[in-house]
Amino acid sequence: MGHMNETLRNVALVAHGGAGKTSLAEIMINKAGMTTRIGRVEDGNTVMDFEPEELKRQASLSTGFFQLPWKKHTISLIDTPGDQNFISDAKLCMQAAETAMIVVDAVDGVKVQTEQVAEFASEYGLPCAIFINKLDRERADFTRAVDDAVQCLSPKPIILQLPIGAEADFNGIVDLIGMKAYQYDDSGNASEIDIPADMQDTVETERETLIENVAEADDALIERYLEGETISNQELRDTLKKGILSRTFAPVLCGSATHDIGIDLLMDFINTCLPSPLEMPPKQGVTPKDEPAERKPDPSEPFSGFVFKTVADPYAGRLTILKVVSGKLGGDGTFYNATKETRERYNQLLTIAGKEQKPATEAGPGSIVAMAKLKETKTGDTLCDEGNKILYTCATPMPILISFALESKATGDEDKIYISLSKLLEEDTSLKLERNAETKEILLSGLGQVHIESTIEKLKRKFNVEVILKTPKIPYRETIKKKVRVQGKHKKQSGGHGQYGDCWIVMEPLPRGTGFEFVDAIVGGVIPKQYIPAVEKGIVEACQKGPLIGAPCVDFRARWILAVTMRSTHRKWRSRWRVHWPIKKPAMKPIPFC
Amino acid sequence: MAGSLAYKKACDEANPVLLEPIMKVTVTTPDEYMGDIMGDLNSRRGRVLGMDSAGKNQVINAEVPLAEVQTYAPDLRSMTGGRGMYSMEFLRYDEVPNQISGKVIEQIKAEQEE
Repeated sequence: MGHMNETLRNVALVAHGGAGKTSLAEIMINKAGMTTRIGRVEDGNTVMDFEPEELKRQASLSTGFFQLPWKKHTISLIDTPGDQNFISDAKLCMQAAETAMIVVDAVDGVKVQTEQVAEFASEYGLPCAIFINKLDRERADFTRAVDDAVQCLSPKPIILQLPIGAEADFNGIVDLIGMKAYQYDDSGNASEIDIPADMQDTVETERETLIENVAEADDALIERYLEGETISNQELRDTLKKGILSRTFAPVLCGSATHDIGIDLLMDFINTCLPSPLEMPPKQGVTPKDEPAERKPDPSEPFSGFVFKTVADPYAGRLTILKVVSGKLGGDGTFYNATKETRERYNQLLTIAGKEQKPATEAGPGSIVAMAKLKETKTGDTLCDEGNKILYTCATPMPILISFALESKATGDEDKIYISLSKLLEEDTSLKLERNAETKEILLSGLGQVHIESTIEKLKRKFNVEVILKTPKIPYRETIKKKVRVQGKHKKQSGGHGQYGDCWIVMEPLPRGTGFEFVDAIVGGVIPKQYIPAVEKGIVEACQKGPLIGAPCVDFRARWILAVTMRSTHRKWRSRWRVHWPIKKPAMKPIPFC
Repeated sequence: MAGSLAYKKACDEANPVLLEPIMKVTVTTPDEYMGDIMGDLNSRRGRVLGMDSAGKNQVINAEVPLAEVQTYAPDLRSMTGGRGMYSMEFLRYDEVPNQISGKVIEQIKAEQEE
C-alpha cells in the first residue's frame, strides 16, 4: 500500500438487508484467490460475517473489511450491514469509502434502506455505482430493477451492461462500452461470444443512450457527439470515470453473486472506472481555532485521518479502525488526537481482513488501517500531525428510537451489566445506556428491537451476563392542583426528652416545569436560622414520593408560615427550641400527601 | 398522630394529579401513509401540531404522551413498510387525563404490591 494507493479502491457495499452484499464480497474474495472455497451466507462460512449473532441471523450486523488484490489493484471492500437496526454502522463506515456500490436485488427492487444509504452517500458526496444482483433468481427482472433505481436513487443510474437470458437462463452479460458479450459456464469462467442476434437492436439503442448520458459529464464531448463524431471507447471510459466522480450519474452493472456471473467484469470496472483515494477532492475540516482548513489526499501533506469504527476483538483487544485522509503513518509511532487533545502512541499498524488482522508497515491517503489497544481514542475522533492540527466533522450515529429496561437474571449483577455493556457501547455508537433516576431502571436504547436483542446476546456470549428485557416504566410525576393549608404536629412524651412541635405550611400549585420552591415565611425570626435548611431538606426528601403512586411530586410551593414549639414545664420535657425535630418531622408528613 | 391526620386532609384538599412526560414526535413519511399515521397518532392521545413537506416526504409534528409511543419504532415500520422514520424528544410534563390516570394508578399500585 502506501504510495501505491493510486491502485487502491475503497468500495462500500451498501443496500438493504438480503440484497447480497456479503455474498458479493465473498465471491470477489474467492475470485481474487484469497479463499479456497466461496463463503456462503446460507452455510454460515463467510469471511465477512463471523460473529455467531450474524451467522444465526444470516445477516451482517456489523461492517466487515477485506482487501483483495485484483489485476495489480487493491480492492478494499467495506461490507456494511443493510438491516435497519444496524444502519448506523453502515452510515459511519461509508465515510471511509471512495465509492458506494449500491447492490440492488433484481427480485425485490430498491427497498427503503437502500434509499436511506443512498442518501448517506449523497450527504458525504460519495460517487455511486449500482450492481443489480440475483438476476439468476426466479422473478428477477433487470428492466424493473433499473426502473426502480431510476425512480428512487440519485445520482441518475445509467445502464452499462445488459444481461443475456433471464432467471434460470441468465448466463451472460453484454458490455455496452466494449460492445462485447460474455458467456459464463457453471464455475464462473467467462468466454467471449457474439452479441446474441435477438439482442442486437436493444444493444444498439442502449449504447446510444449510454453515450448520450456519459457525454453529459463533459461539455466538449457532448458537442462533438451532437456534431456526429464518433467517440472512442477510451474517451468514453475516461468521461465515465469523470462523471462518476462528480456524481453526474451512477453506472448500472449486473450479474449474480451466487452464480459468479459478471463478477470479473465488476472487479475490472472497479479498477478502471472508480476513483482512487488520490483522485478525491480535498477533505474539509477546521483548525482548533475554528478556521476552515482542508487536506488533499496526498502522501506529502501532513498526516490526518479519522476513526470511524471501534471493534472489541477477542484476541487483539480493542481495535480502533481509522481512515487516513492525508499524509502517511508508519508501522508504529505517535499521533495527535485533535478531538481529545492528547497525544497517543500505537505499537503496530494493522490491516483488517475479515476477522483477522495483518501487520502493515505504512499507510497512505485512503488506507483503512487499525490500531490495537488505544486508550483515549474513540469512534468519531480526528487524528492528525501535532504540528498541523485539523478537525473533521464526523458523521453522527443515527438517533435512538427504542428503549428497553434491563433486569439482571442473577441479583447483584447490576455492576457487571454496566461494565460489560460499556465495552459493547464502544463498538456500537448507536447504543445508549443510562440509568433513570426516577424509575430506578437501567435503560438500553438503540435503533430497534433486533438491535437491542443482538446486543443482549453478545453480552451473554462475551461476558456471560444474562439480562431480561422489559418495557421501561414511565417516569410519572405528581403535583397538586389546589392551594391548601396544612398543620403538622409532633409530640413525643414517652421516654427521654419530651418534644412538641406544631407547624403550618401553605402548599400551592406552580406552573408546569417550575419544580419545587420552599419559602420561609415566618415573621419575626422565631426559628433559629440554622434549622431552616434542615426543614427544607426534609421537604425535598419527602416530595420524592407523591401520594398517588409514590412518584416525585413537583411544581408546587411550600410556604412555612407558622411554627410553635413548646417547652414543657415538666422536668422531662426539657427540649427547648429543638426545632429540627419538632418542625422537620411534621413538615415531612403533609408534603407527600399534598 | 396529628401529622397523619393533617396529610390525609391535605390529600383530599390539594387535589393531587398524575403528570406524565409528553414527547415531541417528528414523523417523516411518504405522502401515501399520511392518513394512517395521523389517525394512529390520534388514537395514541397525540396532538398533531402541523405538517411540512420535505422533498417527496411529509413531516408531521406532534405531541404524544411517552406511555403511548414506547413501541412506536416497530409500529411505524409496519404501518409504512419501513418508509416512515421518526425522532422523539422530551417536551414537558402534562396532566394525565382523569379516565386514564385511574387505570394507571391501579396498575402501578398492583405492580408495587408484587
